[in-house]
Amino acid sequence: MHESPNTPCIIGEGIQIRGTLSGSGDLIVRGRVEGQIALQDHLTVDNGGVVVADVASRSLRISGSISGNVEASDSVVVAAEAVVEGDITTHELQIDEGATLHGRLNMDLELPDGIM
Amino acid sequence: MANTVIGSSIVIDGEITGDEDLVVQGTVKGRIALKESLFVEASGVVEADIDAQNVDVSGRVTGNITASDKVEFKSDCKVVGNVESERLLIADGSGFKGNVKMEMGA
Repeated sequence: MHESPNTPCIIGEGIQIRGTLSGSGDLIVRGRVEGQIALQDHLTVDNGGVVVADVASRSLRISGSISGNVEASDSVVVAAEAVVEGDITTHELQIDEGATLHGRLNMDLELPDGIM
Repeated sequence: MANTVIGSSIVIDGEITGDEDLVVQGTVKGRIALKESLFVEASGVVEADIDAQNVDVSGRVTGNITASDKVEFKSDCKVVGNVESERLLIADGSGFKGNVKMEMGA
């Protein structure tokens, strides 16, 4: 098995992790993660993946389900099949048609004068 | 090829359970319980009790290993802990400190 920086870390469908997951490098979740995720790079929660955890990463793409607060310094994509229960804090946000969302969206943005 | 890979820059503190092969190139602390095979590769560090069908160690393991089928220590691995398995292979160049318990067929 070869190791290259491009090889993402994969949590397969048959795997459950309970605890803290941290580090750098991209991560793909197809199984189940409970606890906490703190990642310096990109996190993908694939269709079928279940995350019951607070998540912090640079960017995030959700096609599965997340229960917990999400914080991404760059961007969050909530794809059509996704189910998210929790607050999302990020810079750029995309929500596709069909996605289910329960929670608050916090985005840092400069409002023009006179609004709020 | 295994489905699940814990990459070299990933640290997991907790419990991993599952019914598919697991490859560890990073660090896992806590407990690992698998119905299939665990591969601790050369860069992998496991500080956990391990329960799996097959355990294949090229990296470092601190913890007790229980395997229902086979345990294999590859050259340059470092293992500290007790091993309970029906079959055990230790390659030349392995480092191992612990007790071994092998079930004899009745």
